[in-house]
Amino acid sequence: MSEHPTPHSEPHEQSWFEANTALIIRGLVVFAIGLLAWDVALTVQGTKHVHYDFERWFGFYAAAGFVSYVFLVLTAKRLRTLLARPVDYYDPIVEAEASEDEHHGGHA
Amino acid sequence: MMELLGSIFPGAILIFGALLVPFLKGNLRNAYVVLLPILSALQLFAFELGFQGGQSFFGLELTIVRFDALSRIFGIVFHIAAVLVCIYGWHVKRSLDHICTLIYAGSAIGATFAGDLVTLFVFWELTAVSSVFLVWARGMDEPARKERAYRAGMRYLIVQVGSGVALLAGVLLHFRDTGSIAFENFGLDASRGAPLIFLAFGVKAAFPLLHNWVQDAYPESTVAGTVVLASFTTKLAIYALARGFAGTEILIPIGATMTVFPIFFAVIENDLRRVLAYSLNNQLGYMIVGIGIGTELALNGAAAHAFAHILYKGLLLMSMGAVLFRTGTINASELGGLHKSMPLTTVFCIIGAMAISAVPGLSGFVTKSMVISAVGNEHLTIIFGVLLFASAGVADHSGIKIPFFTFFAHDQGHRVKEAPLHMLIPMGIAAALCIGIGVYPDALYSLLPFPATAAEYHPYDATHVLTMLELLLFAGLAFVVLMKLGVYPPELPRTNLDTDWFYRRFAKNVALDFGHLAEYGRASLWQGFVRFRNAMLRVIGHHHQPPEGMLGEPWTASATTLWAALLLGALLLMYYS
Repeated sequence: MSEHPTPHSEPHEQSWFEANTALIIRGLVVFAIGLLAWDVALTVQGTKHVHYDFERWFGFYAAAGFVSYVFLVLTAKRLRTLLARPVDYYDPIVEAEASEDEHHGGHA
Repeated sequence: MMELLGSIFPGAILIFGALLVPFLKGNLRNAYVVLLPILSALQLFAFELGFQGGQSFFGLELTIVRFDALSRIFGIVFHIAAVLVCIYGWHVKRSLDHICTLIYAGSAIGATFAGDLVTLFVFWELTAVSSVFLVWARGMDEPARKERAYRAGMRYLIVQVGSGVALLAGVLLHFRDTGSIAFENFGLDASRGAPLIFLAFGVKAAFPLLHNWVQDAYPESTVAGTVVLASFTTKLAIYALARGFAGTEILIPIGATMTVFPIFFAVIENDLRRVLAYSLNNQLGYMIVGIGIGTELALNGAAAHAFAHILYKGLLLMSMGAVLFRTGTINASELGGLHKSMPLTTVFCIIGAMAISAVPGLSGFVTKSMVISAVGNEHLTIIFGVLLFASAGVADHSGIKIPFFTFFAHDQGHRVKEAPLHMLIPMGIAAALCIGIGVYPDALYSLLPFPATAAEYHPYDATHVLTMLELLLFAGLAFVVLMKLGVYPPELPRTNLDTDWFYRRFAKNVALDFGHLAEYGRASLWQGFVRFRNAMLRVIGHHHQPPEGMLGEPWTASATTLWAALLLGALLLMYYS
């Protein structure tokens, strides 16, 4: 490893992304509405090229994306209570490593 | 020149050229390690499609080189990966890492062009032996991790060599049953050895329950080592499955399972290189589904996705390696806000994230869709649904989690330099290829095993673009909603149990319990023996001890001589009998 810098403790200057989070989210929502409008157009025209009939439903993929994502994240969150163990569960040496890094001011 | 290059097997330049690395230093060595894979890539032009070459070895006709469309596309992408990882590793001063990288890449390329199972086995084992040093190398860089890296390397080596042993046993049985060592599409029923060969390939392809060596070993390697490891072994296994078991239906549910279960682990994993290792499993799943279907479109999809995957996965791992190189950590709980310090790395990582998520215009879109279309063509509705769900999962762990928690999220105050130039160059090349393939897929399609079928496939259909954008964008909006509600699981420094628990804890504890039991049994037996011996000695002593007992009587010289003569006579008889 070439560097182990010390994280700054003073207040961080905001980047454009941090200062415009709400704008970015609004942009995503507008893009999503645009996609749904495109979906309406293709559904009404009946020009969707699909393998299954359910793919023709308006907003099927939008709903699939949203629901799949929420299901995945919430299920994984529950799984964590079952699977999570301390960092040094297998290798107690991690403690020595962590203390050494701390000594060198390596981690945030 | 080309005649000379055509007389040696592909990969030989890397394997034998690596032996000169210790004699070179500094920029000369850096130039040399990149020149070797470039020269090796040029060697491919010496072969024409359909070329087969080999020689007789102990009565076996070995086909050391088979140059066809399937081996060519894997050979090309392995060479691209070799060039990129060799540039990326320029900061490494230790010769061992460069030697192992070159031999590992060379043996993977050699295996790809192997036309028989014996040649395949030799290169298969060489990939295992050469790559393990890349895991151990981390212990050389960081003495505190020496034991940890050593153990991870040993586990990796045991699994890899185990795969080789299964392959060798399978090859021997296959040869005994069929009298052939040809590496062709034989399927599971060809011989008693075929299932063993399938198992050997499955171990390296990280089939479900056999997968955990990837997450165990890859993140334990060095900054450059992880990129190298992720480029070859599993994709070699994908090639081997495509060559030997195309159309084997059991691969369809196996692949579908692989696309789904790793994404749950990826969501809760804190080590971002381990997240990418889970993501690697997920992506292999798509390829294996394609191989299992076995149609021309599906096999094209598997090969194309492997090609694109090596590039975008390499790009993501290179960006995470650069972060580890600069900040000293790769834990999501300790990262954030790095877009301010490492803007170019941020851009490259986002391109890799978009490519793996199959955003239209990038490589993943034009390759993964081939596999999904093949699934749709075969009307495998459940598998189709599973792959759809997994696509939303990819959007989370690789599309959002990796770039967001590293470069954005909560600024942890790391103020570091941008990644060094030798890391930015391969990241830039990989990013350009991700975009290039996405924008102009025909270049890749023309290299696929069935180019005519590929030419008829058009990924940029309006419905396809719309549906993929909808899937990804609404998954992204779900992330925003979960973050706003405070429901998204925070990044925590934890070890998550996976199948390695069975051999790192359960089997170890069982072995220790058996050890204690054996020790108890041994001690009990010894105590019993001692008691028995003492009791016998008391009995013997009572009857025979001097001065009253028989043993108390002194032996005369004549009796001693008689017994000695009798014993020697008996020995003489035994010797001549």
